[in-house]
Amino acid sequence: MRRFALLVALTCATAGFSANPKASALAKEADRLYKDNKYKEAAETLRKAYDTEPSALYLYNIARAYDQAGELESALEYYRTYVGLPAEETQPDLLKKANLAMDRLRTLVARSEADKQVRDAEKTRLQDDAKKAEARADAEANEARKQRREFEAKERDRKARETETVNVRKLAAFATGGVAAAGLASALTFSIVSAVNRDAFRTADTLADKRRLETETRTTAAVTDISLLVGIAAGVTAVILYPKGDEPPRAVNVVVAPIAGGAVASVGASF
Amino acid sequence: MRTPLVFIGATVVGVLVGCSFTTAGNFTECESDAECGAVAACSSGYCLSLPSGCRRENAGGSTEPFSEGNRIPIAALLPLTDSTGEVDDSELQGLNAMKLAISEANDNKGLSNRHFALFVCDTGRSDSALSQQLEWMVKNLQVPAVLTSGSGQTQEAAKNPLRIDAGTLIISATATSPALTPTFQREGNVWRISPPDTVQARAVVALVKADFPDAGDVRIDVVFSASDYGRAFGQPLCDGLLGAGYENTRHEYREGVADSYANVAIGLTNGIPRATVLIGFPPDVREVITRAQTYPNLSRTDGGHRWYLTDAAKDPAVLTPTTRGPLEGSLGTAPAQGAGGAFTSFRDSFRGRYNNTDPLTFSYTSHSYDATWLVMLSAAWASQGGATITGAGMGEGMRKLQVAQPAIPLRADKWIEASNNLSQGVAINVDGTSGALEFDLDAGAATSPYEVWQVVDGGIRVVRLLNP
Repeated sequence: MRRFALLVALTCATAGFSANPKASALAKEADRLYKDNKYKEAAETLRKAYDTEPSALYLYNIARAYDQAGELESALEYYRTYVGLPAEETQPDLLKKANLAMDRLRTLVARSEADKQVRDAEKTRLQDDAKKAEARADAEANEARKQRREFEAKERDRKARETETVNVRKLAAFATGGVAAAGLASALTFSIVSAVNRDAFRTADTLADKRRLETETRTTAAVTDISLLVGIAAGVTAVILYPKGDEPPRAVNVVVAPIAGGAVASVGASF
Repeated sequence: MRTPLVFIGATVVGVLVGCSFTTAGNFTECESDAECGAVAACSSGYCLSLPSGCRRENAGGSTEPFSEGNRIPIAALLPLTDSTGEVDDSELQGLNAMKLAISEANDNKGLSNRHFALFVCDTGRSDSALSQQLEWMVKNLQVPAVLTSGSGQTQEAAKNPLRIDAGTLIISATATSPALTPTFQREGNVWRISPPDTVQARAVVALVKADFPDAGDVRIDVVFSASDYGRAFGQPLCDGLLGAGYENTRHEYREGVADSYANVAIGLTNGIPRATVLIGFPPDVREVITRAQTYPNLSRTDGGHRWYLTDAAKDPAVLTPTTRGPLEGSLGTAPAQGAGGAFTSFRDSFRGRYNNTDPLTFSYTSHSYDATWLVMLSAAWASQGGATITGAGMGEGMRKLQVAQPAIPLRADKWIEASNNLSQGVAINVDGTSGALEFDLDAGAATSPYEVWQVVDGGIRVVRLLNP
């Protein structure tokens, strides 16, 4: 309907008022663009026509084209220009339409401005919120980094402590392993001494020697047993103390080999 | 993977080394001597190998093998052989007499069911061996009494410091040296069944006087070993002969030295004695006689020379094909064997047990029997009230055997009566096989008559008794 009205207005203008062919051609072009819903191009073309031939009708149509293009400010400005023209240059019905359009546009502009203000306010708020969120995110990130650093520090401390504990336990394990080896070696040595004493006891031919060798055998056997118990206890303790983990534990390999005529030949240890 | 290895290794070592738990226990090896074998003894639960030359004799007793706790150990340290290993038959028969006496007591319940165990050692006439054996017996078996033989070895045993400290009783069937009298007086507990040789010297002089009543210029030489025993006998004999009016020269020989025997023979043939008293053991006698027979003036048939022998030579071993002729008819002296009231039963028992061997054929056999009985009886005295039997207690018991009461003969059937009396503190009087066993308590020796024995038809025969 509005397009029909404009079409009429432009046709009239072209037929009735345009003495300038260029302006007339531009008006036709604008009319075609308008019909093709290319309102802004139509407005620009009409502005060129108006520049060529300053016709009030062109102003009005420019305002209409901008109005259709949705450029309310430009439309309102051209309507206002049109309305401000001397009465003889305008048409009453167009003035009325222009005023109505201006009222409508003012309302729209005002609403648009209000909307813009709202949008701006919302934008601002959103921006503020975004900034706050960013700040909060930064703070959280900082906190996270701080916590991570603290965690990492604690982890390093824990690992250091673990390493220290592992080292201490290794040291303790080796120490008790040494005690175990010493105990077993002592047990072996004294068991041999005890066996020698026992043999000497069997062949002794005096009461004094028998008693002495019995005492010596008992003593060395007791030392043997104590050494053995200490050795075993220390060995078990060493195994328990030795840290278990990814690193393969270094174990004590006790090698026992019999010899001819004897129960125990040798005991070797390798680490 | 390695951890189990450690456990396994430790366990294996533990098991192997764990044998210490067994080495530390079960030290008790015996409860009786029999568990230790014939050449070992049970002492304080230990089996102790006896010293070289020693063994444990089966000494009878219905409960044998008896336990260590019920054993009264007695040691007999005898020169059963000489340094060459030759057996001394007299000593061997003396040992048989000891075994007989001990088995008689043990077969009669021993001493309140405690039994006497006889440990015998052959000293080989070695003083050092004797000392070693004596000390072992005293230290390891705590023997309260030791039977010895011969004056020299008895003296050696008597002076042993360990024996003195322990107070071990020493008793000898054959020791006759007068030197033992001061030992008895000084150290005590050294007893002899035979009287000292000073008494035998008087017996020899009496024997000589019987054959040569007119002393005049009759020369009676004396040959003896260059030892304490020989001199302790030879010197009083020389003095006695001189005192009886005989001339004499003494000749000393070193035992086992051939030249020494030869020198004696030369000395004799040069001196031309009417008779010679030869003091020595069979080996010495054989050596001297063998060399002397090469000189006509020392023969009985050509020179009218006579030999007198002493107790040490009363042994068939003295008679060899070489010596039998020169010694035929010779006389000898020895402490009387059959002078005691218990001799007959002893002789019968001895013959019954030892192939009809006559103890009279040897010297001191009955003395050995008596010595052993006296040891056991003195142990009965020492056992009063369940007391530990010690040498000191036995020495005290030795003085309780000659009270003025009817004598108890030393026979198997009298053991319980005699030992019960003594173990209850009742002194008794005993009559032995060799004599009445009346002791000179100042000398530690029994008084005894002497027997005169003679070589007859290649043997030895007791011909009479005499009281010097």
